[in-house]
Amino acid sequence: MRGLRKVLTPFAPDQSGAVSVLYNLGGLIVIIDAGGCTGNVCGFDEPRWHGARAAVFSAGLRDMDAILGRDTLLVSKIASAAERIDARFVALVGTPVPATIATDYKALKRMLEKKVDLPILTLPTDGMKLYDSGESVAYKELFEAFAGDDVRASEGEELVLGATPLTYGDSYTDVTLEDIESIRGRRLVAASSSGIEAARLTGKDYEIRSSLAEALLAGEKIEGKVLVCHDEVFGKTLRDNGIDCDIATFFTLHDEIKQGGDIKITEEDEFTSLALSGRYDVIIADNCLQKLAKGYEGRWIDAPFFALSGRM
Amino acid sequence: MLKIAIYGKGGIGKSTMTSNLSAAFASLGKKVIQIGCDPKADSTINLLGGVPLKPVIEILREGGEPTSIEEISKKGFGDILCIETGGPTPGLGCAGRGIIATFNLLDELGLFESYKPDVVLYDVLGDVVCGGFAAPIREGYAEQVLIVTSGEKMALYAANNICMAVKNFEDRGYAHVGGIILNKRNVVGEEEKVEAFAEDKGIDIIARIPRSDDITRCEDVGKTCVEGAPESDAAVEFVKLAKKLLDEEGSK
Repeated sequence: MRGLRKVLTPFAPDQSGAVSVLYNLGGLIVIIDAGGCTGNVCGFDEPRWHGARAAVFSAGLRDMDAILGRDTLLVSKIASAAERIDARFVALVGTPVPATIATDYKALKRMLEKKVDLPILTLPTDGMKLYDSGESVAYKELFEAFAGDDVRASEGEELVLGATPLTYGDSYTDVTLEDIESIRGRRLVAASSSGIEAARLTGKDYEIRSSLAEALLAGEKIEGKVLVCHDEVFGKTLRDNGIDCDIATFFTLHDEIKQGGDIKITEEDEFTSLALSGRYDVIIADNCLQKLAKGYEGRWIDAPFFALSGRM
Repeated sequence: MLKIAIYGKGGIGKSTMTSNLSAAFASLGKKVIQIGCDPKADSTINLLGGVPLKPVIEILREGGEPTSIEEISKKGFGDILCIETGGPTPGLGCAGRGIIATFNLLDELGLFESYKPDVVLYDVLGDVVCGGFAAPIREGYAEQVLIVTSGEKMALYAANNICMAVKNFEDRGYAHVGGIILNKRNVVGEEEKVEAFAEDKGIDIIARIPRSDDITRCEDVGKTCVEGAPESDAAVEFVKLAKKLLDEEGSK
């Protein structure tokens, strides 16, 4: 079965990525599920939940909602919540349930716009893709709703895109709605795979750089041939700083980053084959991947990856 | 771009009407796509010389990951681009979900942006029974619904259900009912019954297709009557309908 996890736990799915981008922006976030996905997002994939709560709700779908397609009921529930919460937008975040019953997000948006005087963002995530895809969807919706046309000097203040806790752990960088409103005048840094997607949407030039990788380089002396299994921008940053490395990633690998030895992997066995190939003196990856590399005798440098392991 | 969804009771002749209408548009020099939205996957067979097209769900079931429109379509009479959604084995899975999965794939492949058709026709299984079967009339897909009916009671009953479903979707930005295609079965008082229904609903009968052996004869050899019997009364009516729809689109 493609993508089956036999050793690792499942990675953060797209709805978690979507919420990760939206979390601190002051919106009313409604996850369209029965409750389990919201529990997973808040309990496992969103470290900020335990320190700074945001308005993240479950639609609380029940069997009859799925059978009858009661989206008018959902719209009234959301409208009622929006009256009681001081939110700057409403975001509907999809999960496998609406994907399966073919929920029409465009229709929900139209219906909500008639009842709620706030921007309505709809994110058709489906729980079958990975977090970076959901982050990209969230940036696209945010830009469509909030990005201004104010094109000022490109030497403007730096804006880091894609540095959510799922990739950066507690070294994440929040983006505000004001940042997005002024995005066309900012100097953009794509800090992860979703950061590249987000930066591309603006049509502006952008720098690709991971502060997480730079921090690792500052504290480690790395020699020899390296396999790095993390986000692609993490790997590129190591390479740009003189590390002779191949990138293996379970997430998106853009053509603008990919080089000869780089690979997008789906199966656990693919990582095992790479790790045990004898080609690498050093592996830089989350420690959870060591279970897949039993017998590897080179040096292992831990690079925690929250979306993979839930470790900060 | 003219985007039309054809609905109507099962067995009323939707695929016959749709493929003849596609052929009529093509005969007028238009670039046409026909998308069959039925697990039986036989909507386009008479545009393809009687040879069935492998449906999208079948390709996905076999583990295929199509990256181009060519992998999931075939060109038929008049260069009409034919696509069949297909669906699960009868009695299993969810056919509506199959339609949504196919539409998502067509979006990912950028069908409309890359192919740039003049006309898109969706041939939809029977009634609007669930969210999946309403997908062709959602925002971004068909802009008008044409209902195929005869004067038979159950066909008019289904036509009424379709009208109600479309009305229920008014606040969602869905397609509107563009008219009725009367596919004559020569039942007693047929025209009067359908005219009364149309008047009651406030919609027009935009075509009256005669019951014709030419249609049957052409389908026996895998053709539409627009292709196989272009001088027949039925073919002439289809071409008239195509011109009328293009004129209406042009006058918007």
